Amino acid sequence: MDQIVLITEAHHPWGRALVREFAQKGWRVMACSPVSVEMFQDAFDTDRIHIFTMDMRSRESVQQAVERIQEQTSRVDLLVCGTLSSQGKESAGIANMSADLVLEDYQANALGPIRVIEACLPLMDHGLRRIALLSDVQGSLGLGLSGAGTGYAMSKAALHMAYTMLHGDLGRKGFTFRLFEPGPEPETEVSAEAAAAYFTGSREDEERMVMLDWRGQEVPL
Amino acid sequence: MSRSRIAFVTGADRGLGLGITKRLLELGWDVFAGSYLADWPELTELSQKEPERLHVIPLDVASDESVQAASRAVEATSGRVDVLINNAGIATHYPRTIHEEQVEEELLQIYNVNAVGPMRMAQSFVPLLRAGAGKRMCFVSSEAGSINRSFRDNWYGYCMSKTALNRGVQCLFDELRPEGFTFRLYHPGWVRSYMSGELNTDGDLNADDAARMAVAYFLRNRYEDQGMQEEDRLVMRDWLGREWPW
Repeated sequence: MDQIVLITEAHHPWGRALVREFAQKGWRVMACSPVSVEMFQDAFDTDRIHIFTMDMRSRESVQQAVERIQEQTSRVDLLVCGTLSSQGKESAGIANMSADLVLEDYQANALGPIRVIEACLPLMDHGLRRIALLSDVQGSLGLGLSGAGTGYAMSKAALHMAYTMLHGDLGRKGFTFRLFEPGPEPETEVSAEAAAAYFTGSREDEERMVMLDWRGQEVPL
Repeated sequence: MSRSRIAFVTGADRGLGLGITKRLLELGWDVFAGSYLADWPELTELSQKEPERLHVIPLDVASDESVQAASRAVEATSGRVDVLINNAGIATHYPRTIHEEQVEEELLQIYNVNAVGPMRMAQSFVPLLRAGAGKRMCFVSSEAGSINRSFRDNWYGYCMSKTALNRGVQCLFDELRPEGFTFRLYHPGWVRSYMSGELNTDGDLNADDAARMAVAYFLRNRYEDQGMQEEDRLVMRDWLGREWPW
């Protein structure tokens, strides 16, 4: 039986690399993206990949996409929630903060994954039951790094809190989690390969809440 | 206005914010009290008793315009603030798990008030704090924002807002501590307050007791000796003096 992965933000270079990686591994891939399907379907020339329009910022869009996905499959083994990052739009420093951008970051980076998980849970009752969330070291309270836009760092910290809550709740129901930092763009191919291996492999400490970066290093939450 | 010490308190209409305002007045401070509820009587009554020292300022921390208008009003009256107390916060009455449909508008509103509100205040009030003597920013956060002590299955909006606030305060600390700013990040305990819209009668603490402990911590200096400044470490502490992990 084919294993099935749903990947959001599949139009980003990293997401695209991950989609190809899973297709090569023999998985069926439900590739979701807010940009129109025609914009990037040429990037995927295999019938293992199905493309759907999904804007994680909209509950309606997420629900519609999941309804269409249900026409292709009744099961999702692995859910990979990427995020629409605004990092780069916003510079560090309180004087530069835009409250509108801070709210946008939250909409995309924290609420987006919650919407997708909420909508996909009925498809995940059977199978691998694994959820991977993409994050960033800038969200780490343990590291407390400087240099990112405030809203971006806050949104990723909020995502980490959601992760701990999901881990506690769904972990008791047999779900496992991967919180992962994809790293810099020049490392996209290496990082996507590492991610696919990490997302599909087992870990000896599934009970622990762990964030890993693309090099396999543990990042404190 | 006399050359007394000046604080600004957000969410001062009732609950902990009103308690903090009353306590600061008792201690001889002048207070600018951010008021969201124009028709809530207690703050107005207090200002009638203390017309010289208590200034009620209309304030919605979820609005850029309102926060900017408040800072302009303070600028025009005193030109400085010594201590900024970010107290305003909201929560939901109906915490939901991931198995229930989240209420989107509420999730955004809670974030806008609890996480973005204090950052808006910090942004607009930094110049007034630079002009003041204290350069102190206080933030009412919550144990619910502690990732390392997270235990809840529901209440996503509130928990995420407080974690994000803590991360935002880390960014502020990083930037402003070198200028001499000091920070208080605080979990006030479970207060019998109106955070979820109605009076919570089950809390452990009444608002005035909670305010007394909060103000004591907000105004007290932390340890400092040769080569060692406790202020250089950002921590979240609670009403019993316990330190909370991130």
